Amino acid sequence: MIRQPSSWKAYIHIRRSRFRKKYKLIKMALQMMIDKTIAIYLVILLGYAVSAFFIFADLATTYQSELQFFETEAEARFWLILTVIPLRYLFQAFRLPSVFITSSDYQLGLLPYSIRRIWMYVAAEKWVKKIVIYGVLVPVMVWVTGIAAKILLLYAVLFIVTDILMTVPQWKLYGQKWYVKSGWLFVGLLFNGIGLYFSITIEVGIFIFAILLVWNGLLIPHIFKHVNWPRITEISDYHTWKMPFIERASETKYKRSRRFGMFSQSKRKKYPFHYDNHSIYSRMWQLYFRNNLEHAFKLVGALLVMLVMVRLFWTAFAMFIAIALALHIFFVTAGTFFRDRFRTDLLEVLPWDLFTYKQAYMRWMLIGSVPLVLTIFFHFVFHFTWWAPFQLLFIAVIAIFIANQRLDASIAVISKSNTTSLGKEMASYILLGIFIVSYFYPFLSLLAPIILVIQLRKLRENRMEIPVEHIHM
Amino acid sequence: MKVLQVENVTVNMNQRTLLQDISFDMEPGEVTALVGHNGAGKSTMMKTIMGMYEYTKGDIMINEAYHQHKSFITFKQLVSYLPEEPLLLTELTVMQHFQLYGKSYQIAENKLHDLIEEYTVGFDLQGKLDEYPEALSKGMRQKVQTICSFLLDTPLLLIDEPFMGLDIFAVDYFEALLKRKMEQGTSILITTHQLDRMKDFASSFILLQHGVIKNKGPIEAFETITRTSES
Repeated sequence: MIRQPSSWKAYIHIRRSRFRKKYKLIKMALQMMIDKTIAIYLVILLGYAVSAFFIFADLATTYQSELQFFETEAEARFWLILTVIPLRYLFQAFRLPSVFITSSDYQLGLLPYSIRRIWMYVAAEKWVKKIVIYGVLVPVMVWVTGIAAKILLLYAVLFIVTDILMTVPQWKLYGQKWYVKSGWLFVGLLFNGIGLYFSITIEVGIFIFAILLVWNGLLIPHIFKHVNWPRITEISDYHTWKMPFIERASETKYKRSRRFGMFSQSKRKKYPFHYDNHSIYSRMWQLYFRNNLEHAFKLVGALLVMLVMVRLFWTAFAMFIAIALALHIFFVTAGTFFRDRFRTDLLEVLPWDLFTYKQAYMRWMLIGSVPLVLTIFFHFVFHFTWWAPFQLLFIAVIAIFIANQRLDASIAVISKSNTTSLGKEMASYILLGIFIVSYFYPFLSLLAPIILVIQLRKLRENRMEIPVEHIHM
Repeated sequence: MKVLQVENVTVNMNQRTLLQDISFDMEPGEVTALVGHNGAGKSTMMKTIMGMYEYTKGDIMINEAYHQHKSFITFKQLVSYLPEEPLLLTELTVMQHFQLYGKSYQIAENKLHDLIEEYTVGFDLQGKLDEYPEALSKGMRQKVQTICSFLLDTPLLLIDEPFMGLDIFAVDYFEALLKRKMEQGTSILITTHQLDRMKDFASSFILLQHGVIKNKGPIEAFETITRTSES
């Protein structure tokens, strides 16, 4: 009789080895980056900060009204949040599988172990981790904030149950074409919209919950049908072994071995380029943003949430500060993306026409800023004064100025040129300051046309200044 | 005129010295074999010349006019690089890769198409232009990467382990193209473990060991690599 080897033992063996390797790497990095004396001081400082903030400060008393507001809202909006959380998983399905099956896990499936069991173990590990995290987090939050344990427990259960119920749908959706994923996302958004508009979030919540149960029932028998394993293992390896701390310590960037694009099978994308700068460089940016969609969405999403929250709950003046902050953060990050592009993949070894790359990038930046632009636009529509058009123009002009300043600074770094843009950087801060003050003195927004003219002249000069060296071959 | 000048270049990374005081230069049309054990610093040298690794000391210049730090963008236009492992993008077809290279090095469209036609026939890649790299075998991907770097007309060509993954016919065609490049005056810095093949092409060698130049000179003077433990 042939004895079936234990999948559980093999799985545990891989997990132990992985843990040991990660532990060794982190230990090496820590030894390299922090000496013992600094480590002791850091621990003392951290302990002091934590005790000062959470224990001695008595958060529950200090922020009583805010915490009460949070508790009431959390209770009132439970069903709405229930309908919103699955959207996060539908969204994630565009770039991540719900269960990370690394190449080592997959190898077990090729050996006489059951891949179905291995998948189940990995999924269960994910759920157990979540339960442990919430198991610790909930009592700590109850203790520190004084929010009712019932509410926090309810949310913890909601997050864990949704995670379990969305595991199989996200896994299956990840392997689907982009339009199938978009379709489900649209349906999810539609239900949310209906619930919110007709104030029937309880009914919609129950309906979505029922759909998730049925969906799971239908999908579970087909979990391993039509699975693109190379794609799954590649992304799983990347997420399992991408350790930013180690990258920082070793000054090396962990690169993905292969990339699988969601549009790569599209027939149109296979056509040769029109042999011009625009179509080629624009496509290079498209590829970059598609591979960094998560970061781009996080940036725009976080800024959008900030603007909306400030718009809803704070004063109109605070909105001016929020807009200035959003402009600053958006373009600083955009500058970082721009720099990163030329240190990634094939492009790193090619020569760069940075001016044309910048032009192509500007278009992508504009697309990315649409949600923020709309939010700001509607803010001024709802707070309409006769100054509003000038203030909008002022924001646009400042945005163009900062965008150019940040990208030029990035270009200086990429091209290893010694030019510094300290003056321009100062100017961008001053402009943001003037914009904030323009809340009280709206006539300051009349500066917009003047800055625009100066900006256009500078742009023209810069274009003429782009060094076209005569190359001696 | 010297095509490449490397003077006292030192590369440090993670408090380790990967290359130390490396100096050599190359004349037009010269082929130099960069040899050494695994981990001797050959690929690091290539990547440093390409600007992928920063050097902390020294100078790298092309055509005696373009310093890597002072004219980096122009410098890059004058170097082409054939890496050991293909760097192809999953999302671009073979043809789109050629076009990206062509545009980046400002090759005229007609010339690019003529070269693509010639090289795809030579490397037996007809009918593969609209394929993504995943659809190709490892050898075919290496051929695509090879064509990408041979399309270019730069004074300096860096080749890292050129024969990896190429079949016997592709190696013959590769050698023919290499000869043509030499005749055109392109200087070629090449790393390889197949030294017998390179002896017919290379005019000089640089022997690297633990990140320092252990020996250099005309290729006829090159004997063999000893074990690192023996040196």
